[in-house]
Amino acid sequence: MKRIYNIVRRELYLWSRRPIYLIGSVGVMLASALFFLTFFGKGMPEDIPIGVVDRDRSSTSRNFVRQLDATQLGKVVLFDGITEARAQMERGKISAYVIVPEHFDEDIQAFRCPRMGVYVNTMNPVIGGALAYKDILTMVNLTNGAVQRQVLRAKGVSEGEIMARIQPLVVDAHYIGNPGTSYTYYLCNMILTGILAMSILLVVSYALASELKFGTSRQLLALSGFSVSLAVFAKLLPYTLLFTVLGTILQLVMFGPLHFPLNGSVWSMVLAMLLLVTACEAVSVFIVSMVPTLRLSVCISALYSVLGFSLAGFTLPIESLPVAVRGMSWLYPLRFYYKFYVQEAIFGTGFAGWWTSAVALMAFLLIPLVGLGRLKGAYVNQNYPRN
Amino acid sequence: MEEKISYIGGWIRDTFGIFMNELRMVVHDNGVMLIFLFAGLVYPVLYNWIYGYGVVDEMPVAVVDNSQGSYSRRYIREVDATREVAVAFDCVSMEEARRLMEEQQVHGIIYIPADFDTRLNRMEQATVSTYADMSTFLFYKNMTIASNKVMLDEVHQIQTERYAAAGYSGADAEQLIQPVQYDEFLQYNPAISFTMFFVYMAMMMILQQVMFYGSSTLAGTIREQGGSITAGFTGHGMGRIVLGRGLAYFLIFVLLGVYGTLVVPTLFHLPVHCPWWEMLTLLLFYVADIIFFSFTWSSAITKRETVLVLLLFVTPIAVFLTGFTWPESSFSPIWKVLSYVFPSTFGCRAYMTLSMSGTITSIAPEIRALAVQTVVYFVLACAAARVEDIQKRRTAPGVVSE
Repeated sequence: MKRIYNIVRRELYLWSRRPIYLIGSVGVMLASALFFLTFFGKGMPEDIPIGVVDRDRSSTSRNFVRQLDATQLGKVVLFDGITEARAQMERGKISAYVIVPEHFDEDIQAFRCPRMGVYVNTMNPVIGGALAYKDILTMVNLTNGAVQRQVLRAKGVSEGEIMARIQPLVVDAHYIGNPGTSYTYYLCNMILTGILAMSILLVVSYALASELKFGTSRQLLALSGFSVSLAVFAKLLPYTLLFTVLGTILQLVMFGPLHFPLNGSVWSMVLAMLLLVTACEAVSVFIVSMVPTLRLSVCISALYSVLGFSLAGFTLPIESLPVAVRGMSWLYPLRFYYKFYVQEAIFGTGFAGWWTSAVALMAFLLIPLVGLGRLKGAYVNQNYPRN
Repeated sequence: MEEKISYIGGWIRDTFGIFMNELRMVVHDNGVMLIFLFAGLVYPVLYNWIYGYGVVDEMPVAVVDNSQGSYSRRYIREVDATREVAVAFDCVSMEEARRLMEEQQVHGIIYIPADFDTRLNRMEQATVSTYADMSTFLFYKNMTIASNKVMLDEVHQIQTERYAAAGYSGADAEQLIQPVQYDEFLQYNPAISFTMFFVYMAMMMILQQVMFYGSSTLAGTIREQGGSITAGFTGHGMGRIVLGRGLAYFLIFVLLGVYGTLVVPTLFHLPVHCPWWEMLTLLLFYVADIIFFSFTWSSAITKRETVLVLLLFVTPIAVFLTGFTWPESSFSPIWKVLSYVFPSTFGCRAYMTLSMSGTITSIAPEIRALAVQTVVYFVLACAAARVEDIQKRRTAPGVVSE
């Protein structure tokens, strides 16, 4: 116990001497949280620029433009010619454009079925073009509805029947775990946790390997009575606490004042965070044991953790990745945190839903055992290049 | 005149010497080589491979059909026929469907109420409820596209039937149902796949980040060992130092750039609709920019490992600032200004535009922005080198240049 206390004290002293530890954890998380929690605004983009080439310039076409402009999602930019609209779309300035043909108004009145051209830049599968496309189609269908309504009214059909004629079928869509389809809720949870995981790997690898670089590893081992597992355990204790507190604050802020949807209990999420922190530390210990030089272990931690964002499965679902890559995702604690999060925050299934992910996160704790002997050798002999 | 020539000669000699020296240092530093080779060569392939398919096909959904009529069966059949969704389970109750969704066996539920067919037969409005798993936006997108496509199609069919009952058929009915028609053109990415959207951005981002972290690590090493990037040339003009070092990276990164933006996309059949020399033109501008960008910001790095520990989190931020997902038109002013700091903001947009449109004229504004950035960062990098040089001389007055 005394030994653990001494090592923790030594670690806290190191924190006060080298700012990298606190800036690399608290500073990084503050800056990232500030950025990501404000970047997506209200969670859904508003006023996406949609181009319109109005070649009719009648009251009907102007009305169509006004209606499209009035939607929350879209903002109309008028163009004189198609060439210009196309160029602007290629440059990403507008996400879509509509061509209203000549004699649009006349043709509608005469039931000659004018054809509009809808051109969409679908580069962005999630928002941007996809949303603009939906917005335009809604407007076209509403215009159709308006025309039908006029005709049916003239025939003396009642309002209720008109609605059933125009729109005999409606889809009532529910979004489980994110009712407002907010981009903030969807991304911030996992991106910020991903950055936290990255920060854990980097800072802990740095802390463990800097003992070698600065030649202080024997001093650390002496404090632990030459038990490398005790040394690593005690050394990482303050980091576990620091990162769990950081992660918990992050969760409390998101699920509390920012009202991120949470169907389950916040304490389960805190448990997930603790498991994630320890699992990431375990990976870090493993990396440093295998490559006991500061520069290489930090490099490897960086290269490894960047891929975590793609392999956690919150962008492209794991099922649509190549089979071999699906296996690679098992190497990432973030993947299991994400599964835990889906069960608890989105579905609120509780223990029955997430216990497998929790066990998987705990299994990561066994990984360092493979390399501890090697780490001890490195700590005692300091026989690896320091730089 | 003689003096002038010897000055120019000396300048070129110095620049070349610095260039060779920097290359030698890069090659002999295995940390930097790891970043350059692994991130620069392996990541482009890896990202293309991971996002190679990029769409969710036949996402499993559960169906709860309480109506069991001809309309409801047709609706389900049509949903099943879409590319986006496959009906995997036919459930008797919502509880069962919910359990399947919680077990992640399905990612969506379609619920058809008992009065569905009755209402449609009575010429009233009927409702279908859909429940989408929001853990990934792609699930939600698939669910929405599939159910809306089928809904529009059904609306059309039902209306045709109803007008037929009222005595309108053929062209007459068509004119009434869809007085305004449209042709849709989903351009550049007709399958709405994740691949193109992400990979174009990633290729350019990798170049900038690899350059920044690699060169900062090297600069940090030199300073840590008590040296300075101006060592040996202190007192001389800083232009030759910045340019000489820059040239070394220019050589490496134009090669990495050609590899990442032309070779790898070709191998993975990613569309690049422009001739290679236009891409090369963009690369020359972009690479020059990222080099001086890295020199400027790395002047604050004094230890070799600190840059990754402290600044790796900038990568995801720079990724979002390119506007590849959240559209630029919805940026708040502060973040818009921040986005101008990174060459990647313009580089990624230019690469995407150039690959789609295939004409270099369409990326003129981005090229201009990159050029302005290059000049600004070059001046800043020289100024930073000058400051470092002066500080170095002040702290170590005994050291004089050779």
